[in-house]
Amino acid sequence: MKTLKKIVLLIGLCLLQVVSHAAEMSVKWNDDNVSSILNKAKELMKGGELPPIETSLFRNIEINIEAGIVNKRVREIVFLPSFTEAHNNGTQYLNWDKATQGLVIKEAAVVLPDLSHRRMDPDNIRVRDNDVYNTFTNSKEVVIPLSGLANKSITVLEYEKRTKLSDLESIYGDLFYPVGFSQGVEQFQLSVTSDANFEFDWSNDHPDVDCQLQDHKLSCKAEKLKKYPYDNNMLWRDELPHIAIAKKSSWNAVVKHLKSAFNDSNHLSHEVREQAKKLVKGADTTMARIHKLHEFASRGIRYVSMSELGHRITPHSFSDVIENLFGDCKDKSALLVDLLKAIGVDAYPVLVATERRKPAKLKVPSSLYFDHMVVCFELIDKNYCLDPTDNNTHWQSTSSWVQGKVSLPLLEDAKPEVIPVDDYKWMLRYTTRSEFDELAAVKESVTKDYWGVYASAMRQGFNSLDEEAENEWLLKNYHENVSTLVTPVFTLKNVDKLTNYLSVSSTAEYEPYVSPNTSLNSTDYDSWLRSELKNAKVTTKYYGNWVDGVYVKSTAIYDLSKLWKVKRLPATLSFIDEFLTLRRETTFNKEGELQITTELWIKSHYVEQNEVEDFNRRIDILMNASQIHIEGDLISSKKG
Amino acid sequence: MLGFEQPCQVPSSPQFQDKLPVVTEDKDMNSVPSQKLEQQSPEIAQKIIYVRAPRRSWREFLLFLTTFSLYSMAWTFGRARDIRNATGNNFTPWLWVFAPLFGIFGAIAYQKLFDNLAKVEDEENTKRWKSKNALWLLFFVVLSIALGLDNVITIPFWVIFILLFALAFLFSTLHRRFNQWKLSDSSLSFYGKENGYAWYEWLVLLCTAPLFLFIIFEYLILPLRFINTPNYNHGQTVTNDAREFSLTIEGEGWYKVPSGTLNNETTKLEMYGPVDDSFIVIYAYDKDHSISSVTGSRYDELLNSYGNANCKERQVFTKNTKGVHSLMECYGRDWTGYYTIISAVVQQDSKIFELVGKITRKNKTKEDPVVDQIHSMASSFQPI
Repeated sequence: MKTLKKIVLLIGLCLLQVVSHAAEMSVKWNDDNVSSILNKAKELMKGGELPPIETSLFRNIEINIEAGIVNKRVREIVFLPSFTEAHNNGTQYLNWDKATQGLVIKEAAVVLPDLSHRRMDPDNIRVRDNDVYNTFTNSKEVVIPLSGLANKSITVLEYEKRTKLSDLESIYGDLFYPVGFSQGVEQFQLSVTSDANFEFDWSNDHPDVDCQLQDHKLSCKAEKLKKYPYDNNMLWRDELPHIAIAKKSSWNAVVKHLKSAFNDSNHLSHEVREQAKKLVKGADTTMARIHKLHEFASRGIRYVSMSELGHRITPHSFSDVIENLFGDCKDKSALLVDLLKAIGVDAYPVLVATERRKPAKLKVPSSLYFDHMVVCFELIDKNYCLDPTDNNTHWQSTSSWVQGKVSLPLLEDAKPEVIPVDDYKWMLRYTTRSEFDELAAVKESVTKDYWGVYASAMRQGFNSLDEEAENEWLLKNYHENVSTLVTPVFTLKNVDKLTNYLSVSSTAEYEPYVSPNTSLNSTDYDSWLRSELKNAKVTTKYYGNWVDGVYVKSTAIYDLSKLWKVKRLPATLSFIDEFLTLRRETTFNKEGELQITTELWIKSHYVEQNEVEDFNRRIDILMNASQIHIEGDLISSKKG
Repeated sequence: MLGFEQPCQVPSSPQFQDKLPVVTEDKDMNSVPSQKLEQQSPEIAQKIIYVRAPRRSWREFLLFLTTFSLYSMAWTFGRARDIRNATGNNFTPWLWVFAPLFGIFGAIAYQKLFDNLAKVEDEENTKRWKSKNALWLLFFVVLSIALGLDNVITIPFWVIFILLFALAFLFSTLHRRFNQWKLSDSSLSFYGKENGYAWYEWLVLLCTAPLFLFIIFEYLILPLRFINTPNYNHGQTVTNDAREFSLTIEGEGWYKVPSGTLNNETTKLEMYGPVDDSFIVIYAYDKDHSISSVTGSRYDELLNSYGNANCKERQVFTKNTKGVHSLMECYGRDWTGYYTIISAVVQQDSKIFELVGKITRKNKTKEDPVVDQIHSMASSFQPI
């Protein structure tokens, strides 16, 4: 009975907790007629001097931090000159953390060229969960479809978010991008005021935005801000200037706060030790033990996002994760840290900003930049970072999406740094053996070994396909890169195993391509190497970009069966610059076969925007040079 | 009756008229009368000594010169046979064919020839050289060695020409001495033409004279056009008017010649090298070409010209890493000697230039300064 009472009491407390934190979303028009922001929009429309392209005419953000409550009021007026912009941007989207924020939509309307206006219907508002990761938040997306939008209209939006600081698990902070990629801003205003109990840090790296701090009030303003050009594959958070505000703190304090939350769920209990002991059974070396623990954390624990209130930054307990066999990145990381510590490896959690490569852009100490967590440790003078959410990468390789990203180790005195990048991230070694007969019919066998994260990327791809789809993909890939003349037979190795390499082999038979007793004149590209070169090209136009390191070793063996005498050999290649090297040597091996060995090194590095053209030109040069040209004469025929 | 047609008398030159019987010019020199005489009666064989009719030295000189002294082999064979016929010595004339080829050893052979010549001269009290023998042999040895040096070092053609001229003159003087002996010995019967050339000599002259004149024109006369052309200095950078490429000169003695001098095709730059048969030519190609098409064409051309070419190709970035520099080195041998052809193709954007350097050497030395110079210039050849 006592137990039942306790359970009822506990449930009651939990409910109370949820109710007390639950905030609401409401739509509350300022008045029944015309709000001040709507009036301003009409005045702008009436003024007639509207820009020819989509433009934010007025962007105003006011933040007031008083008595432990943050009030954020946002007002925006956007001009959409044509149906294209109306179609693309006629719906407004807001992020909303239901558990910690109150959201009031004060105005959402359209002003038409005839100065009439139409408010949106509150019934049309939808809230959706589009963030499958929710690593340190539990935000939802509020969708506000504006009604009655037509060409040359103005959209108006005003909303307020109210956040109680005590509800937040992490230290308060916010980021503001004065201007983005889709529209310029005619008038930008940001003000942050706080009472004497709340001190904040701020930073601004937009050259055209002027910010002044006076008496607990930060005022930023700018006019006629031009939009930034957008590139595919760019990390926009590294490029867009922003204003950051956060509660006055230091990186050390941020680390301490996060570490404390991490440790709440994390201690080297008897249960952890027992679990670790069970998992590493049969593994003789530390490396083998690490492999087993990592395999359990990455493959044994399913990824499920669980950042509900109380677990925004605090991982679930070891017991919960083991019980459920699921968890998110921080849960899996906490579990792996525990297990590794249990076998004597001094592992520690590391926050990662997977969309950022430039630590210098993190000007204000805050955890708000980070969206991921991994586990790092040092072993025999080498640093390893394991991502337990990645179930395709061997522990000795750092997951592709983590490499080079901004990180914050949860260690004392830590500051934002970069997760080390492999000099040569994509590693591929392959041997192509071609047996020629007297009519140059070729039996080709290729064995490709993918290493490190390349193996994991291939594994990830293959694991998402069934056998038929796998074969289709391999065939398509062969046809696109090598030739459509044959249908090779493929064999895969180490696709399921969590190893550091994966092999793809293929065999194919090409029809004869010379007439009897004519000379051999063969020109082929080193197809797979050429494909890697093609992938290495930088595709950004307006910004610099990171080039992932590539190492490819191609060995092409031509078994001419003593039927063909080679007259002209392919050129020796020795293309070397600071980051690119392509070497090729031609020899005859012990069996008298012609062996062409080509090695490509592209070192991981950042290519500045003004160097992109040169870099791509050099890649083109190497692509052309990957041609293999052989001339030969028939010596004799086996058939007589 | 005698197994061969008895030589009949033909009109002789005024100089030798009425002096000696002469065999007909129609007879093959290889049908040696003395050999045939062995089949005659001993009386006749002892009385008639057949030797080649004396002929004016300048006619011999022409043969020596136009055949680049190769005629000296035939000439020595003939004179050895003359001496054998006159002295009854057991010379083997065909072995004497090789005497002109072997400098010092040849000199020993010629000394033997002189000794035997002295005997017949003494018999006829012909005024003979005596002390001049040594001088002749000395010149012969010196000239032979000097010409032989061409196999070791590359000697300018004009020097070779002077040496050949001197050698032809040397043999002509010896021929003159033979003439004197033949004219003073009344026991000799002559065969062959004493005035003019036999038909086969004409044939030789017709073949060699144009070749001789062509070589003289090509290697002695034509280069005179550039005698006042200033040489480039080592380290100097050369380019064309449009400043499309740069070439850094290696070594001394390179000089620019007008476009079209070395090649009929339109060229961007042509240069003669410091030694004969060494040159550099620069071509430009349009955007329809590529590095591989240019090097491929050059390789095919070499294959067509020389039948076989041992080529190695190497590709690197240009210095500014904006283009490709391809260096193809080909080695081989043709009738003129061991050739080295270096083709450097540079591509940057849509522009392609090719530098072709060539040198032919008499010997196959591993290191040659001019080959090194061409190699360095080809390696540093860059688009601007």
